[in-house]
Amino acid sequence: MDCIEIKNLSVKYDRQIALKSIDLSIKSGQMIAVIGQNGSGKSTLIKAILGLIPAQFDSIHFYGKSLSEVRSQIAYIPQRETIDWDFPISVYEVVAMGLLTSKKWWARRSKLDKQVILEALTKVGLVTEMNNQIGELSGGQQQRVFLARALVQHADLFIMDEPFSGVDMGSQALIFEVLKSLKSEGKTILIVHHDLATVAANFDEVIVLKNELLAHGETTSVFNSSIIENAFGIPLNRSLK
Amino acid sequence: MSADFSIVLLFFGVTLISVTAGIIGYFNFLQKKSLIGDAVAHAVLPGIVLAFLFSGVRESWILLIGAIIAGFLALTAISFLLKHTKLKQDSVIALVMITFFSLGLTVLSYVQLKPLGNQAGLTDFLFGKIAALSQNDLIFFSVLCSIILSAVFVGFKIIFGFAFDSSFMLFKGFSGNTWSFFMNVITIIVVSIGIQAVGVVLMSALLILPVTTAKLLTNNRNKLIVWTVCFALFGATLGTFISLYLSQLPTGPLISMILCTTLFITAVLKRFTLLAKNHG
Repeated sequence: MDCIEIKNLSVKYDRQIALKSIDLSIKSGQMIAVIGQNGSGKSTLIKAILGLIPAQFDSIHFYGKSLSEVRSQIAYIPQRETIDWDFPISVYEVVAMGLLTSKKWWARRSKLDKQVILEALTKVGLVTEMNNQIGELSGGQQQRVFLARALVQHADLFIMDEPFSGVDMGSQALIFEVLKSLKSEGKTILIVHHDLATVAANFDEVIVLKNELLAHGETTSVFNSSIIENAFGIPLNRSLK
Repeated sequence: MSADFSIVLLFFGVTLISVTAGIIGYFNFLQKKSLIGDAVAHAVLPGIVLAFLFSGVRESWILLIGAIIAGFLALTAISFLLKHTKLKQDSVIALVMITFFSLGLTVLSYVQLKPLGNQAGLTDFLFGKIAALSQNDLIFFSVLCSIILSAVFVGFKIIFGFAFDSSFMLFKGFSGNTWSFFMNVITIIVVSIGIQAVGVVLMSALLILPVTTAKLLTNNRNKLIVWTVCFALFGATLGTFISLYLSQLPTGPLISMILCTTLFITAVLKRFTLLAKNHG
């Protein structure tokens, strides 16, 4: 079954068209990159399918169901620019947010919850930093905190908005490693991505946007010169620099 | 009832009101909406005066209802203007605050001219006069504050989560409208109560200063709450003490000045300890 199926999705900001009649179907168990220039509608696409901004569409389904039925199966990592890094919250508390549910919101954290949080922190290598305020971490560590928050949700679909921006090489490798092990468990990972140099080696499929769907398919067939030049206005070999 | 009891009740009421205001200020601060409380405080004045004008009595709960209605109108006006005009938040808040406060002052001056209004002591709402509160008022407000503090305690994780990362909370299926309605209601009620202690003009001191001072000392969630409560307690108790025993001055300016001085001293001390650390 398709993990995500979108029919005729459009988004308008004031009078500007951010996305125009997008049709997409994404299969499970893959790592998919959403690429395109700034303002091409990458973030808009994922915010729209997650119901975070107003949008027009014929239908959006996850595993054949509507969003409200499958919320708990989806983990979302927002763009780092939207986070206030001076906020008085610790690494541990950010990760614990992943366990909040709108049903049973009053419930206290159980022992099992604490164990799940610790496991996620171990996977992303942040156990020793767990009581630090999030602003005390490096850019890469900060992204790993949010990856850990996604991990505790035990989701089947991970949607991430630019998880590699402001991330050092070590953290990038660690994040890719965690994502690949998720993929091997059959999870689906959809990533808004800006670094074209890492696309070919890491992603199974690519979605190319320019306020409309330019291309979608396996990386080997879609990630080529003519499509990239169309999307970015410069040839692929120069885009990679 | 003995004089001792009424003094104890007075201090208890003042500290509970101040601590509640400090906690609400903590959340407003985290949401980067520190000025919302100031706007609400100014906006409730016409509600209070009109409630007195129509009822003819200075009953706390009647005035409180007037205050809450006016507070709601002001917040609705603010969100309406933010949605339907291109004005930024600071201008919108200023605009609404001025509109409501000038209306309030006008009606207040009108009421003062009448013999009944002159005796009601409505000007106490401008600068705050805690001694003007009756024992029933204090008990009523203390109960309200306790309810609000309990509600905040129960919903803490949700309020905190929304302040930190609202899109994540929305995505998790929490209702943004319910949450902001809840925050608005408690802000309005706390402000309407708080102005009895410190007055309309300086209400924001009680909301903003404790948490701002606390933020100088720590960036840890729980310690920040503890320090906020400590500073609110200190300002309120000392201010009320001076007002009652050492002067006839209104409580509002006294509490605000103590809180400002505390903020200043904390900032200077922090500066010196940082310097000492760097040299040592």
